[in-house]
Amino acid sequence: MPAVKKRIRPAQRIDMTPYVDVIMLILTFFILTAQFKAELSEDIQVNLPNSGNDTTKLPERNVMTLVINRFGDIFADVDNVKVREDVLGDPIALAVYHPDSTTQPGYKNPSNLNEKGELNRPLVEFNDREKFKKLLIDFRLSSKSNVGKDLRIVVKGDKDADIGTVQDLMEILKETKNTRFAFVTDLEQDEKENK
Amino acid sequence: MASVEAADSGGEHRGRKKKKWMARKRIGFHIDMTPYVDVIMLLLTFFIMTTTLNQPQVMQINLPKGDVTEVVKVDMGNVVFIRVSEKGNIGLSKGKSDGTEEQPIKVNLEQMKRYIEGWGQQNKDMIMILKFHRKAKYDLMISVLDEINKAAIEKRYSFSKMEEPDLKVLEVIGG
Repeated sequence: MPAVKKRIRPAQRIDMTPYVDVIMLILTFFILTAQFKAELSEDIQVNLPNSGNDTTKLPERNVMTLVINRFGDIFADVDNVKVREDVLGDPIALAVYHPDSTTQPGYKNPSNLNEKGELNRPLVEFNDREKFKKLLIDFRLSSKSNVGKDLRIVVKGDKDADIGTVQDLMEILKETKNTRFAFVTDLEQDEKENK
Repeated sequence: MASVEAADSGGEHRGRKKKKWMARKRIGFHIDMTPYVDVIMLLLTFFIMTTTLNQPQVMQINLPKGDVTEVVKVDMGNVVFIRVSEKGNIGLSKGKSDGTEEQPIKVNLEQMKRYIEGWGQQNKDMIMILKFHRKAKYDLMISVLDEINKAAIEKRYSFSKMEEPDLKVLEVIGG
């Protein structure tokens, strides 16, 4: 049998430059659009309600987040570490207030807050409405002196939160002269996608 | 590198050596890009994994700046009440100029939008008063606000507390 003649190819070099160029472009795109999950109130798990036509995006910097979970606890947080240290005395602390005395607060049991069942941040409890109001004012003043910009307020409510709690919070915001705020919602999707 | 070697080998040969080096160098000069590409691919993967493309939206709310005690007088004929009961029923009723209001109609979100669109086009001064039961769910509140925002009318609404008479009105549509 005649031996199969092997054609010896000279070592081929592929020019990788265009490939690298494209990858660099993609990389740049992702680096620029990357938004790291704000470490803020991510610890508290909420199911956001859906809404159809809100086109405004969530502000990124200088935000005060007020999270309402399904137990009716309100968590107040700002994204600036300095402000937190100023007002709460701890750079990673989280303020919590339960406005509705007729329901049981849920924050005492960490397994209510997120799936992990533990909270990485210390909670500062506020049991008094006036003190909580003062806290919101302090947050704003401290942010103004530390960052120089006005604090933007977003309210992240759980789908199953009572409207009463939201109304209480809205009243507090109104009394503290925070009349502009925003409700955070998820973009409405098809029913099927939503489970 | 070349200059370092040249310096080591002494002064005399310096010129010649350098020349030789210069002549040898850069003919079909190739850098192996593989490790570079590897690193970039790693970075790329990292950024793709960490980006959250599903950015939440926000619904902007402006509350009136006025004092809490300030009373605003409106013509009841322009008022539309939207009441949400504990069970999540929506009752829609129109106010009359004499201070009373029409019988509430039980609607779903879609119907509510159509009604307020119709009324809003008839009456440009329409004001919606939203009354939510404290125990109703926040999800419903957002849906109602969302429908109002979607409706092609001028959006003027205010939040108001639900009181005893409102509960009676809601009883008509089944609480």
